[in-house]
Amino acid sequence: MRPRSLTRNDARAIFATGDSSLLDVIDNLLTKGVVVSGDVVLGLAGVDLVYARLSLLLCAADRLDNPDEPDGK
Amino acid sequence: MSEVYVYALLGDAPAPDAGAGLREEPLRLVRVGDLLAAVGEMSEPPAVSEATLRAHDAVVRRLADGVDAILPVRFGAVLSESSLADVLHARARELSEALALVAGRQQMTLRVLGDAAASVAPVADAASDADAGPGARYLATRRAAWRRAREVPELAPLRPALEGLTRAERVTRHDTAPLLASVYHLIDRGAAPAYRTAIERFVSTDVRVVATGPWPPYAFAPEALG
Repeated sequence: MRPRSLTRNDARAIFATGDSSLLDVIDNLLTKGVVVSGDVVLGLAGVDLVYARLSLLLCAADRLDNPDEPDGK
Repeated sequence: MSEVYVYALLGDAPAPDAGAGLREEPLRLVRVGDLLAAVGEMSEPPAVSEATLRAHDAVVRRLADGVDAILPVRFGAVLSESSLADVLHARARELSEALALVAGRQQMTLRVLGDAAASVAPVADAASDADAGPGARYLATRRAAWRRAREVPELAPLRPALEGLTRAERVTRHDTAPLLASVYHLIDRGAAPAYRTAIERFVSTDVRVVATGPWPPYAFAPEALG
């Protein structure tokens, strides 16, 4: 299976978790300058989206290499 | 030469020992000048997943508990030992200064949430000065943008309560409302309860602030290996 980068759907999945500390872990550990490829499927059940968390993760996602962004530039 | 995965830069050897890495590989310390790098043998970075991110964070936290000063290295840094030595050598002074700043300290993270439209602070418009040439106007615009990216006017009412607690600050402004800014504060170890109390007492009709931590000082570590 071809590795892929973090997409906005992954972002939604991540934000669906009730565990906000994961967002901080992502913010702390992934950032510009570190090239991240491979699966970022975090396997989290999609339930309630928390809007603020979503925007936070999108910030983190924007820092990743994202060649496969479906609605990309 | 062997490839290593780098977890953190340390000022001293951790007590009781460096322990194991995210793949249970034994960690060892590579000394370059005054710096120690905590590394594990690894030929390629692990795939990014919740489990590997958390495992990396757990290793950094354990190392942080065993030393006074730690500069966490972000996820995925695999390089040869000779490249590691070259990089640390070239940036020795900057990294030593960063280590001194974080010694005995840890990080709190503040998320500032609110209405984006109301948050745009007026900026003195030096760029419109009719007497200035195009070069000066350009520089003034750049300077204003630089300043704006590092300011959090929304937190002004909170500043007095935080003054005695924060030792350094990093700011990232976001354009994804309602998240307006992430503010990273360096506080003394053990000061997290006092910091949280200050945040909880902060009442504002304009913004909401959410604090997490304490964290190892990720935001205060230069991107040494990026």
